[in-house]
Amino acid sequence: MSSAPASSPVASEASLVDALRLGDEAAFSELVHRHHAGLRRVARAHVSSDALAEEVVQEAWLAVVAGIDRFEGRSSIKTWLFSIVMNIARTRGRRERRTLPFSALRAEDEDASPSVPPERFQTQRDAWPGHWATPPRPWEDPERRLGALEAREHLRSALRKLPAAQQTVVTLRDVEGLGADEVCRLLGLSEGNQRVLLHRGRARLRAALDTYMEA
Amino acid sequence: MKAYKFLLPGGVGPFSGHHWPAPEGGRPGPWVASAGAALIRCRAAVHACRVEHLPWWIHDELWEIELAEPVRQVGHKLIAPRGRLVRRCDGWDAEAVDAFAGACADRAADWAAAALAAAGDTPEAARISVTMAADAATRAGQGRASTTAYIAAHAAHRVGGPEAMAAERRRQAAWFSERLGPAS
Amino acid sequence: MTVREPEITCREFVELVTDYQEGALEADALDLVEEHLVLCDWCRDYLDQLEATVAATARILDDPPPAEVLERVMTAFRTRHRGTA
Repeated sequence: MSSAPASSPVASEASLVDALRLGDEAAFSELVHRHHAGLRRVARAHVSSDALAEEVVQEAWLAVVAGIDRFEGRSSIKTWLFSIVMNIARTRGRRERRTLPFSALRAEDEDASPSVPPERFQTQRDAWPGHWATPPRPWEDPERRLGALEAREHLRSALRKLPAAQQTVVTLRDVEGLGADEVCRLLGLSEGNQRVLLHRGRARLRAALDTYMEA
Repeated sequence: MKAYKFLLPGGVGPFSGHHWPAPEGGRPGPWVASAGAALIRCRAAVHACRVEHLPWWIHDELWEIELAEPVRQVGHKLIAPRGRLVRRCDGWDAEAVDAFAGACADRAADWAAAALAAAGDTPEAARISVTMAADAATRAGQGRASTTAYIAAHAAHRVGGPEAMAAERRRQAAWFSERLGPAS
Repeated sequence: MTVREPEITCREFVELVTDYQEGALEADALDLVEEHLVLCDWCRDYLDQLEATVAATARILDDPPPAEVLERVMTAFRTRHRGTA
């Protein structure tokens, strides 16, 4: 049992692992509920259908059930879950001949479109080339409005529409809260590449929310 | 080393979000080390500037700050391991903001006038200078001192080139040093 | 000969913003980004919106696992721990 104070992340992680090993169904059910969709989103980036992604994640949970006793706590549980899913998804992806190593996913991303459409900025004929021509409209009361169910639906749908590599990085960094180093290790990406994908994904999500906030 | 620092209302760092403890009883405030930020990964440094670079950093409150050595200059910024607020520069108030921004806008208008004069029969040639002057007037009206200062510098550059731009920035800095008193 | 001071434009800022948020900018670039944020309230709005987006993404409402998947997985868990609870 960890000797860290009860409210610290280390202590709660350690007590979660203990609970799972002791067969605490509520703890396991909560874990599944919390991470299933995120795991599925990451799996989906590596296989060719929603149904297959679902299978991959189910297989991953079964692996967790079988392997929790062997979990050594060298990474966080979250990182462990995602690495299990990544391994199974990659194997499945290779088996169905849809080889999508992450470098290939990144290649799909090489369209390099700017974060904001170029026409939003002034040109050489204007007074302030490169500065906003049509500035962003400030969002009114964003915390409250983005907390609304409709906004969260909109965001979830926008996340699902991101190119696979961007979706994976945004899910791991911003939904699941994994650190940059962890995500780079998980995905075999350099810091720079990870950041580019995060950048593009976030830019698209902001644009989607901007549309929502304007409506 | 003596330097200057602009803060948001309430003594808050504009980038760090750090609440700087104020001086009390005529003595400097306590030393502050890394002003860690929620948004930006914690940088083990305190940022400030020389008086000649004040126009680039304008915010609501102006403070005199003492920096511990070693002090490094990067661009228009001074970086030090620790700093402490020494005194608030009371001269930088709402009235001063308006006066400063207004003066910058006036100079931008002067440059537009010069551009129009030079354009002679083809006023269209002065279009951008005129736009800049209009932008400066708008921003000065909003009390946006840093933006107006930027516009004035570029208005100068448009007509008078880099030398004029540098001279404009020196005028802006002089505006501050004239009002900060003999201590500066 | 006087050289014009370096600066970045808004278009450059929106492409540097993630590097800025991740603390990945070198001192020179960071200085330019911060100077730009001082003078440009529009880019500050853009930055605020990105922060709000990240905060909202953290609170995303995901679908629960499908019932049959949950069932299978919980059954496996129960079976594994039969007799140990």
